[in-house]
Amino acid sequence: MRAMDLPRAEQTVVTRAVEQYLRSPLAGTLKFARKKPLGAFGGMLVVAFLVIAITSPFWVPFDARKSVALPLLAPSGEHWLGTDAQGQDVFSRVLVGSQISLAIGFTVTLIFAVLGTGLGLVAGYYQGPVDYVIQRSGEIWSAFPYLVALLLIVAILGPPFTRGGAGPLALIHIAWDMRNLVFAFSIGAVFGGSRLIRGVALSLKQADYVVAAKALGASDLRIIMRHLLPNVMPYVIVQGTASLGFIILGEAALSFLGLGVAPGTPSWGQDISGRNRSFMFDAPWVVLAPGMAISMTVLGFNLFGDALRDILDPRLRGT
Amino acid sequence: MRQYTLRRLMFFVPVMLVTSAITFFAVNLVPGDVAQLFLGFDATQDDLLAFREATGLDRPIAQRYVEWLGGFLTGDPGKSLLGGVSIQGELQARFPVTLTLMFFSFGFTMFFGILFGTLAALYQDRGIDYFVRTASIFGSSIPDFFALTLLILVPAVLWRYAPPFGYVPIWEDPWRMLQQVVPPTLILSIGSAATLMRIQRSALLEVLRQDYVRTARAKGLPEMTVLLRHAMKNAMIPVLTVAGVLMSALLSGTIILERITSLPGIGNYIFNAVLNRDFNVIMTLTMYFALLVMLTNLIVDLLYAWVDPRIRYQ
Repeated sequence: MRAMDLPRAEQTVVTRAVEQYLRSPLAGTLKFARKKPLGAFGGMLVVAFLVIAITSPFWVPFDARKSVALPLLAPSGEHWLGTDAQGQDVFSRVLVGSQISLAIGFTVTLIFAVLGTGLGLVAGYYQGPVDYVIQRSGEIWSAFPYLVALLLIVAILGPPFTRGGAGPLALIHIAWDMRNLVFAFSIGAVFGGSRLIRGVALSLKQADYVVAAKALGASDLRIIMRHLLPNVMPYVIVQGTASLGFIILGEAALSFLGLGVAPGTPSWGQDISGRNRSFMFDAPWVVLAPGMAISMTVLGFNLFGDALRDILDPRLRGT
Repeated sequence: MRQYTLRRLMFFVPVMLVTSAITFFAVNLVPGDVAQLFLGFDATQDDLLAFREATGLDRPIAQRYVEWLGGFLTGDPGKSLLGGVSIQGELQARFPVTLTLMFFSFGFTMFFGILFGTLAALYQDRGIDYFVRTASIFGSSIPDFFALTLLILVPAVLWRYAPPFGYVPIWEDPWRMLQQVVPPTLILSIGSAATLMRIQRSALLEVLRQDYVRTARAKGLPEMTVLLRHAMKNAMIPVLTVAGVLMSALLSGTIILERITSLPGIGNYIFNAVLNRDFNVIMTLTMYFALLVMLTNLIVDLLYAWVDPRIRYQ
């Protein structure tokens, strides 16, 4: 495990950097933008994506679920990105389609942050049978190629169905409607992520301050919560950002294959397949627009996550 | 070493048993009548009964599991529920297609990943390094299915040209096979090559800072020898680890590629089986996939010892 090579002093440096940032977020953000312009650009894409996902249902020019014009109209002043095979406004659909990606991506990341971190800490700190079970079940899970695993879970639990909606509450609704997919992605995220956290916890366990806390009679719970948790947080943040892009790609792939959202729901993956696809040679914009939307969003998360990793992960610093 | 390999191979048995049991019971617990699903809603009661008897669906689930397992172990995975086609025959026809696609996409991934990773490490913090790193982030942001769609769409719109898709066995027409297989597998390998490139870069940078590399340079070895004999081999460990993981990612990519271009490979087979709940096919393919992933992991572990003789297994 490479986390073991990590010098102790560096770990506290990382935690201090996070604390410093939290004390003055504005100055920290400016410093980040100066040091990592591409990462800041990625961060801007991410923020734009978040704002669009939460607010777009309120201000898109057309209803994304209704045909509002003739099908396959070329982009024009009225329909900025043209219309699709059903006569729906592509621009509106692409904006509203961000809801699905956001709802799934963030729910799964939240589950990973809570469950994956918890399991990883417990496994790394106690080792023994808990560790063994977590490690082995992770290995069995990884025996399936991820798309095959997703296909199987969707086949077993049934494809999800969502009607979508508007506003931040709608996102929670969507996440609940898509619980089958959320479950499918969470297994991978939790198993994969907890392994990383476990490695870090394993090396932190030997740190002087943990040994000292133990000598002073601190309980296991206190050591985990007060001493280990704050120090693994940078890794949780880095891993969470990286997996967001991966989950958005996975959801899009499933929807593209027709196993994601219900037909008609604005979703980037689905809009590239089906009826739209059969007309793509005459009306390329119907597939280009959603495809670019996925790529830009994932690019945002990747650029941002990459810059974060450079700053937060001392193992990779300078390499 | 041989003992270690044997022990690892023996460990396959319990893992396969657990995996097969979980999959079998999970797939069979899906609500809904399979006979109805296959025959449609206008099927008569007699038809349904006959279908259940012919496919063994009327027997208890535990008995069916044991029967399936027995069949699989003796090399006869049974028949597909859909049309009663022999699975063995289907596999023999489809396997070469997927194998060809995997071979090329894995080959491209290794070649470009290691080449660009090495270049980036050798020219650290220079133009080429920044370019390769930025390109890799962009490359890993485009979904497979969109990149493949662009491969079909862009030539068609710009030049009215359709790249040939399909599958001709290499022994029949090698040139045509390459024409059909190289463009899509090249596109498919972008994402994984980008991942591998980053690993190769950071692994090589770490090794190039080691004392033995300085010693090798100090005794006047040509830079090429230092790189190939001393640095590359020692940087292989993380690269091997990731290459093993990428195999499974490329298999997922192959499923998408086969769907998009309607190639008659394994990917399309499992996709349709899952859609139609074709139990026997799902079970058989899942087992083969699990075996493939475990074998890959074993090979990676054995290669570790070959690359780094300090690693010993007992």
